Amino acid sequence: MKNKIFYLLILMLLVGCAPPGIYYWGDYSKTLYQSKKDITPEKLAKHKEELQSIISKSNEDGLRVPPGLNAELGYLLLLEGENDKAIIYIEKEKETYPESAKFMDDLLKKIKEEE
Amino acid sequence: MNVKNIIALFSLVILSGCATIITKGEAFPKMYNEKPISILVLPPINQSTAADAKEYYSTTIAEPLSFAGYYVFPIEIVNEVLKQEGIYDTELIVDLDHSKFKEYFDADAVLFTRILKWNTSYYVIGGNVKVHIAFDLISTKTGEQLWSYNDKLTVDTTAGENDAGGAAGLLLQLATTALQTAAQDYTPMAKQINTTVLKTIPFGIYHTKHGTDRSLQGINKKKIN
Repeated sequence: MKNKIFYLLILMLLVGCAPPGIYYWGDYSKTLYQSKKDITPEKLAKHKEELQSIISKSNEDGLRVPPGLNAELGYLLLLEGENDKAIIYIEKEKETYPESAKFMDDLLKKIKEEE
Repeated sequence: MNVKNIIALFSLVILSGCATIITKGEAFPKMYNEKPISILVLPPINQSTAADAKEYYSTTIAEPLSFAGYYVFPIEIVNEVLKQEGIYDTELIVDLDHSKFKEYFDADAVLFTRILKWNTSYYVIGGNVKVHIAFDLISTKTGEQLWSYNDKLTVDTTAGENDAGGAAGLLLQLATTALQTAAQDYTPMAKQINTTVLKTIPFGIYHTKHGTDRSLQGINKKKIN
């Protein structure tokens, strides 16, 4: 009985927090948490990989990339000096979510000023 | 039991049981009037004894907020910008004019979170973690509160039962529990509380059921700040 209740609870949790078809977040909070808990280039690289994998899986499945993630990947690329690639992702954030336009435009402006 | 008694009993049940449960529309009317689309999540105000709760907590909030149907500004970048502006401590932002967030980010609303309790306590055979977080969503247009919730959660981190008997077994179990509690990631607990709390926020425009939940029952009036 205890087991049944446990599984039922798990099922409810799964149903409750991940409605199918809206977004795919992968292990986002896990890899981000780990990159903060243990600040090393390896952990950061792992988080970057996770962002890339979430974005490509979302595209494959025809899902909208979750809010903020294109921009976050762009930001990590910017820190690596990959400005051209960074701009692509920041533009993508703006395209996907027009409400981010003001903030994204400011970021793009800053990148261009620093070049 | 006569009819009078039954009616009295029913009234009592209604008064005591249902009086504090209201609909989403009754609880958060401004949310339905203003219909915010984008939310800027500010770094949590940490009033707990866990010094690192602030940084870690902010890794868990974007996902459930997006599922609730809102655009969430990229938290990591926002935090960097706030650090550069010297206002990473939300304590300093509380009194700031909310319209600034409209001006700088074009955000419709800002989310303040206060971590009131994030304590790990030990007791004889078991450990548990108490988490208490208060949420406040403030309009950048009017500075008014659009949505708020205040909830406590206790997560039991007790080690599973073990077969080793006697005093040695008890010691072993104690050690295991202490280890498990100490090694607890904040993430699963934060996720649990987010899931519970964000069930109460009206669905945003990216939610498939946006605009249909106004008369949905289930908001505990006592948990609205």
